[in-house]
Amino acid sequence: MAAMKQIIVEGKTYTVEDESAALQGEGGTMLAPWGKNETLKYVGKRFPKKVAREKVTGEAKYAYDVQLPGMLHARVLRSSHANAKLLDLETSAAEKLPGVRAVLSHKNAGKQPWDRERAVFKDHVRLIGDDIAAVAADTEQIADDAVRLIKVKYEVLPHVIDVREAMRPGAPKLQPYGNIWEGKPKVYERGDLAKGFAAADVVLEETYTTSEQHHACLEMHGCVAHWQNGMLTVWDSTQGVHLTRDLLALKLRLPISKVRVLNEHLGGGFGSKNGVKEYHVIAAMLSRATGSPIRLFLDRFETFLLSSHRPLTIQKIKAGFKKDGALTAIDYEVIGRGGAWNDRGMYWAAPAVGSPTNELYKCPNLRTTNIPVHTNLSSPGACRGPGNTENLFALEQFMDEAAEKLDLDPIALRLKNFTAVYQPKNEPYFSNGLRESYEAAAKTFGWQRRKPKSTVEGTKRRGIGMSAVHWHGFEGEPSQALVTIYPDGTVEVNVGIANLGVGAQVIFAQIAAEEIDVPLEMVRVAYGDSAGTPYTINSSYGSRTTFQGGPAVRMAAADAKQQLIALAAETLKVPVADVQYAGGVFAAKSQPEKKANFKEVTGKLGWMQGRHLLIGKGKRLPNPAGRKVDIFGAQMVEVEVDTASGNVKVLRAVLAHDSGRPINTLTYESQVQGGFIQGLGMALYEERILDAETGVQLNANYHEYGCPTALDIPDQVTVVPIETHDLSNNINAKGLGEPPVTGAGGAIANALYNATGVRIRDYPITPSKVLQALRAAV
Amino acid sequence: MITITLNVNGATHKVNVRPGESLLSALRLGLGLTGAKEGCGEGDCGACTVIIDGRTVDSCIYPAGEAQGKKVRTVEGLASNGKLSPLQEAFVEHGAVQCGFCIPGMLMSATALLERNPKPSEAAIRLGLSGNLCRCTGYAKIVEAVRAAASPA
Ligand code: FES
Ligand code: FES
Repeated sequence: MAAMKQIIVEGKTYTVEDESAALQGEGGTMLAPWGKNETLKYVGKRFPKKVAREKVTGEAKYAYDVQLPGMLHARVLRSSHANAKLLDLETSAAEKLPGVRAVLSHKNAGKQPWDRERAVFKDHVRLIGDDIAAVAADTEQIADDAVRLIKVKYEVLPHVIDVREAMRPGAPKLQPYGNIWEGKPKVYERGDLAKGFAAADVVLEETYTTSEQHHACLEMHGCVAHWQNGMLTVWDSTQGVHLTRDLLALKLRLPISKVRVLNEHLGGGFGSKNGVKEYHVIAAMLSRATGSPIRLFLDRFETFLLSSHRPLTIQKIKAGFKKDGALTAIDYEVIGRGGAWNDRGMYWAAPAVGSPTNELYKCPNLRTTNIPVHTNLSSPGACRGPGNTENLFALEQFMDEAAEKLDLDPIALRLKNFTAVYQPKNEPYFSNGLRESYEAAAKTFGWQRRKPKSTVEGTKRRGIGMSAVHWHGFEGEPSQALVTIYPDGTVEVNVGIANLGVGAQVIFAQIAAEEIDVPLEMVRVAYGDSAGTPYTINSSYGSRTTFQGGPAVRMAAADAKQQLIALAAETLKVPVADVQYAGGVFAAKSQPEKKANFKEVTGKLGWMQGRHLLIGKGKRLPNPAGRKVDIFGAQMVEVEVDTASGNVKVLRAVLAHDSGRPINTLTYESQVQGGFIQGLGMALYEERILDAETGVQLNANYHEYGCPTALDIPDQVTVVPIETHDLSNNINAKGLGEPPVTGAGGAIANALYNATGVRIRDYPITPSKVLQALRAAV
Repeated sequence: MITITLNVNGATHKVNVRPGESLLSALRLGLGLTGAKEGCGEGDCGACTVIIDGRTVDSCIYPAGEAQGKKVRTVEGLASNGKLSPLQEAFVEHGAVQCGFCIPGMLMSATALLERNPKPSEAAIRLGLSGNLCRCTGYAKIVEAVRAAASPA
C-alpha cells in the first residue's frame, strides 16, 4: 500500500502519494528524486552530444542513406481527385516497362487493410494524394515513369475543402455520421457558465485563426524495407522504433519477433514520424512481392501534401473578468479542419486544442467546445506542441487584449489568475514555475521598460510583448532500461529509442555516469534498434524521452552499482556493508588500506573470469498518485515593424522555461531556441496554402512555404532555465521539446500591437495583413 | 549510362550516370558518398550543398556531367586524417547540431564563406548561411559556431 500524505496548496488540503515511497525501485532500491541542492557532477552541466562528431563528418547514416545490395526503388500512384470511385485501373503498360519488378494495387493486393475503414490501396479515394497503386523498379526514375503509365478512370464525386462549408447543411457528407467527427462537438464543462458571466465586470469576445503549419523535417518521410525468410527489417525515418515495429506487426499480422525496426539517426520528426503510414506497409508488401529490399520515400511535394500538418483552427474566446482581473467565466470554441478519413487526425484537429484555456488560468466556470470537421484533405497530426500551440497563439493574445481593457499590466493579469492546481482533476501540480518564469524573463528582458503604446512615429516602430508557455506532462508510462558493465570498465546504457538528435543519448549517459560515478567518456549508449533494446518508450512524442527513459536509466544504473559493490566486497574480502566507493576507488570503511580501483573490480567480470557480465535493470514507475505534471514558461520578444512594407522582425527574445531539472544545459538551450524559431515561423510566415477548389497545396515546396532562415532570426535569443524541484520522478525532469513553440505567436502578436496599435488575429502575421490593418487603423 | 570522371575531395573516380543525373545522385548512389543530403531535390534547402572550384552549389540541381574537370568538395573531405576541421570542431563544441541532416550542407556553406572572408561580420555569416535551411536549431548556435571558428578578429 502506497504511503499517502497531506499537503496544503492554496489553502486547501490534498491527499497525495508520498514520492519517496512511490519511487522506490525493484528490490527496494531507494531512488528518491535528487535533492534540491544536491551537488551533481554530470547532471545539469553542458556536454556536447556524443553523436555530433559523426554528423559533422557526414558519416552518420539516416534511413534516407541506407543502400542495400539489390535494393529496388518504389513510387506510389496517388489520386488526382478529392473524392472519386475508381471505375477502371490499367497497369499492364507499367508492368511491361523494362526494369519494373512489381506493381501493386487494389486489384492484386486488395485484402491488405490499412485501418477499420480503408485498404492500403483504395478503390474509393477521398483526398488528393490517396494511395492507388505502387511500383517497384530498378531505379527511382523507372518507378516514376511506370507510375505515369498506369491509367485510372474515375467517377468523380462531390467534395468539400473549406471547413465552414463542410459544416453547412447540404455539404457533401464524408462520413456516415456527418462531417463533425463522430456526429457531435466534444464539450467539457465545469462550474456554472451563466453565473460566471453574470458576476463579470468586463466581458470580452474575440476570434482567432491559426494556419496549417507543416513539420517540414529536412529528412523526408520514408523507409527501406526488406522482407527476407519471413522476417521484416525496416530502416525507418521514425521517432520510435518500438511503436513502428508494433504497428507493422499488427497491420501485417506478423509476430512481433518477426519485425525489426532500426533508426540510427533521424532527420527531424516534430511529431510527424510517430507510428506507421501507408508507405511503410507498401514498402513491406513490395519487398515480399519481389524478394528485394525496397526503398520508398515521399518526395518533398508528397511530404507537404500527405505527411500531416498542424490543423487550421478557428477559435472563439469569450471571457468574463472582475475589475481586479480575476476570471469569472470562459466560453471557448474551436473549429478544427480535419481530413477525410476517421482516424487519429480528427483528435488533433480540435479535441487536442484547448488545454491551456482549461488549465492555465484559475477559472471556476468554463465551457470548452471542440468541433473537429471532416474535409476532403489529408489528416492533420501532432505538430510540435500540438493543440497547446494553436490554443496559446489565441489565448495569449486574448489575455493581452483583456489586460488592456482592464488597464492592468499583462503580467499582473496573468499572476492574478495563477493556479497551482490542475483544475480538470482538482490535483495540485508537482511543480509550477510560471511565476518564477515571468519574474526571470521580465528581469532578463527589461520588461519594466515596456510602455503601453509605442510613441515613436515614422516607419520603424518597436514594441514588446509576452506570452505564457504551457505543455502537459505525462503520468509516467512503463519504461525500461538496461545498464551493462563490461570487464574493461565500460558502461553501456541500453535504451529502446530512436535518435531524434536532441540529445537523449548524452542525457542518458550523464544520468548513468552520475549514478554510478564514472567518467562520462566511459559510458556509451546503445539505442535505435527494436531488436535487442528494452521498451524504453514506444515513440519519442510528447516531450517524454528524458522524462520517461531517464528515471529508468537511473534505476538501472543504481542496480548495476549495487551489484558492483557486491563484487567489490568479494574482491576486497569484506562484507558488502563495509564497501564504500568514491573517486573511482572501492575501499573498506573499516580498513581503508584495503582498496581496489574501478577497473580492478570490473576486471573480475566476463567469461575469462568465469563470471557473467553485470547487467543492471531499471524501470520507470508511474508518478506518485494525486498530483499532476505540467510544464510552464514565459517568452518575451521585442519586434520592429516596418510600417512601409508590413514586415515584422523579431529583434530579441527571452525564453524562460520551467521543465524541472535541466539535465544538459547545452542541449537545453538549443532545444528551446529551435522550438521558439519554429513558433516564430508559424507566427509570421508558415502556412499550407491550398487551392480552394481542389485542396492541392499550392506552396508545397521549401521555397514558397516559408520556413525561417538564418536571416529571419532575432539577433539575440536568450534562454533562461527555470529550475523547479519536481518530485514526480527520480531525476526531477518534466520535458522540454514542445513547450518552446507555444509562446511565440502570442508574444509576437502582442509586441506588434504594442508597436503599432493594430491586432492581427489571423496567423501567420504576413506583411500584407499588417499593411491592411495599418491602413484600416488610420 | 555514360561514364564520367569526377574529382571529389582530391581523388579521381569513374562513375556511371544517366543523362541528366544530378551530381548529388552521382555522389550518393554512384560513389556511396552519402554525406551530402537531399532535403528537397529542388534547389531550395541547401542540404545537398557541395563546393565546386571554391563556390557553393546545390548539387541536387547541378548535372553530374558539368562537374567533370572541376574540383568537387563534400563534407567527407573536411576532416583530415581523422582530425576535424576547426569549423567541424566548433559545430560539435557549440552544440550547433541537432538532427544533423542540414549540417553537411551548412558546413560546406560555412567553409566556403570563411575561405572567402576569414573575418565575416555577424550579418555576413547569416547571409552566408541563408541558403541552408535548418528546422531544428533555430540557427543561433550554428551562427555562434561559425563565429567561433572564424579567425580571431
Ligand atoms: S536537396 Fe538540394 S537544395 Fe534541397
Ligand atoms: S539540425 Fe536538424 S535540420 Fe538542422
